[in-house]
Amino acid sequence: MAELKKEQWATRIGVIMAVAGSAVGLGNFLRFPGLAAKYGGGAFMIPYFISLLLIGIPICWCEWTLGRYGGQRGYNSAPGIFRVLTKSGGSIYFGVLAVIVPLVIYMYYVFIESWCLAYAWYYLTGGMPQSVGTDTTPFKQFFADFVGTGDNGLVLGGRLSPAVVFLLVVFVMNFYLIYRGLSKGIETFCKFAMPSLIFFAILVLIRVLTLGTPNPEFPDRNVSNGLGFMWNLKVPEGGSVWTLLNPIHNPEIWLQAAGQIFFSLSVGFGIVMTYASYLRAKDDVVLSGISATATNEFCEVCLGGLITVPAAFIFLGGDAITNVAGSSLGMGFLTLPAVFERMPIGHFFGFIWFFLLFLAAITSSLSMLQPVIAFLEEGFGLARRASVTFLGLLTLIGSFFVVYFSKDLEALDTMDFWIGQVGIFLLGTITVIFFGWVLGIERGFEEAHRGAHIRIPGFFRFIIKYLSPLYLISIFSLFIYQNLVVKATEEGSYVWRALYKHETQITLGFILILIVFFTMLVNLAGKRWREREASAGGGGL
Amino acid sequence: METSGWIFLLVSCSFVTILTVYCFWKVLSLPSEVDEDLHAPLDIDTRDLE
Repeated sequence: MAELKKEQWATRIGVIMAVAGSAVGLGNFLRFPGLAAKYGGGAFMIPYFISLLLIGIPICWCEWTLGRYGGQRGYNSAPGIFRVLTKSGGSIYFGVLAVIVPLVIYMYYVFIESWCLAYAWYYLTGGMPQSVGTDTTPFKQFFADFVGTGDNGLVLGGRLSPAVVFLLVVFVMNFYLIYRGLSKGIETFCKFAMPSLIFFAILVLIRVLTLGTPNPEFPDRNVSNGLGFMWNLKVPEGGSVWTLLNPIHNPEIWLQAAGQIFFSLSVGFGIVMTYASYLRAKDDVVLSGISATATNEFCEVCLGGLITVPAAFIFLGGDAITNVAGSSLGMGFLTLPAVFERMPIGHFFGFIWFFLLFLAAITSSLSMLQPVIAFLEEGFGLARRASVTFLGLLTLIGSFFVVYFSKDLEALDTMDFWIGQVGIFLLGTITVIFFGWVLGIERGFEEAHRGAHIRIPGFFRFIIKYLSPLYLISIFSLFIYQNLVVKATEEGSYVWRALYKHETQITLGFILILIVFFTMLVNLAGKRWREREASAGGGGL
Repeated sequence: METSGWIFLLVSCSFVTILTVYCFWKVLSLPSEVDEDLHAPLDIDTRDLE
């Protein structure tokens, strides 16, 4: 058992806001609407809600329950939680993934977060470029210059560029809040940031829904058609809804829907597990878990689904959306600035929009630091100042690695694919298998219902034990097959880049070094835990 | 906006909004944590969890 439990959430609503804040991010407002518009319109919601039922909600409850289970036994990090769960020292190595995934994602996510703050600042101070018609070229050029996508090291070349200044500002904000601790830092901030974010999003939503037909030259570009572009049923020519949703003929729609649920809810990051480990023994996890999930879904479907695509359609037309569908960065930083440029009092709404994206991003990035902090504190007995300093230096190196390899955002994209997609699929699968098969479904439900204010419907026993792992493994296999087998020889594919592109190879090398380094740290932490148990007379696991 | 679009929009948004409102109504109508703590066993680590 670890030495002592140091921190706890102060309020029930605080932990829900913190978990919801972790889940609500850029993908809710930028990625989801584009995907839905591209893959079947309203019909996308069928595989989307099925994925929510089969993997989103089940894994969420698994992570909450496993986290509180580990926390009550003195562990807040995934290596420790997996160790007490399996009663096996070897299982701590599964926890390496739960430390690496949030750590690496933070390294590039914080850079994107700083762009949101920078864009909000530029809208406020009039620093954004101007364009005419539907031309988005000035915004593409602005983005390329700001981030330095033309060549590696552009924003680090001899002068303090705005991108670096905003990155450092955001970095300091994140670590200041983390240093203040779970309750005074993360919880207090999320209790303010989440309602603010939703308020700002509703303001933008009202603006979009009251736009009417702003350009008389294009009478078909109105609010109704904008909503229709997102929500109308789009079946293939000569086909039906069944043709569209048949997983054999059209696996892509299922893959994209499951991926969106997975990435959007922050399940498979190991974050929820760490957050839930700070709950008390009798604190509810079932109602809290579904409340955080519902908040994320509200932001995604009701706010993201009604703002982004209709706004882009009204001012730029359908092609502008199709070209960037599924790309958060394309939609957010290339397309939407052109929308705000044409919108009445668009600079004010541009500021509101990018500030709300910044709030969504910072509540997510904060949550990515906590699993690593928890591991350093309980694995090596580090005080908060030491663990924050160590993590600060490590993530600063990683983030500047991403900033340096800025040509075509190669490092960012490589990390996002291999860790932000492959890594979280693996971790999500491990989590649901540990809950259903290691802890055991009956014991897991008993554990989940301890202190619960609502009960999990009985059919979730079958879903969590059989359907969720099967669904996850099927989707993951399909994902790997499409990306690493079918597209393997295509120039520009992830496999091709790993084999032939210098920057990709260096990034993969960097990730590998981190994995080896944290495997060694986890090994040392495991030895330390064994020695402590032996000296306490409890014997090792 | 076609009829199918309205149906998907209304069903999706209604489902998510009702779920969110229900959850927060439940959470906010619970007794405060202070009251719950008064009735809970003392939070002492007896180290008998294993």
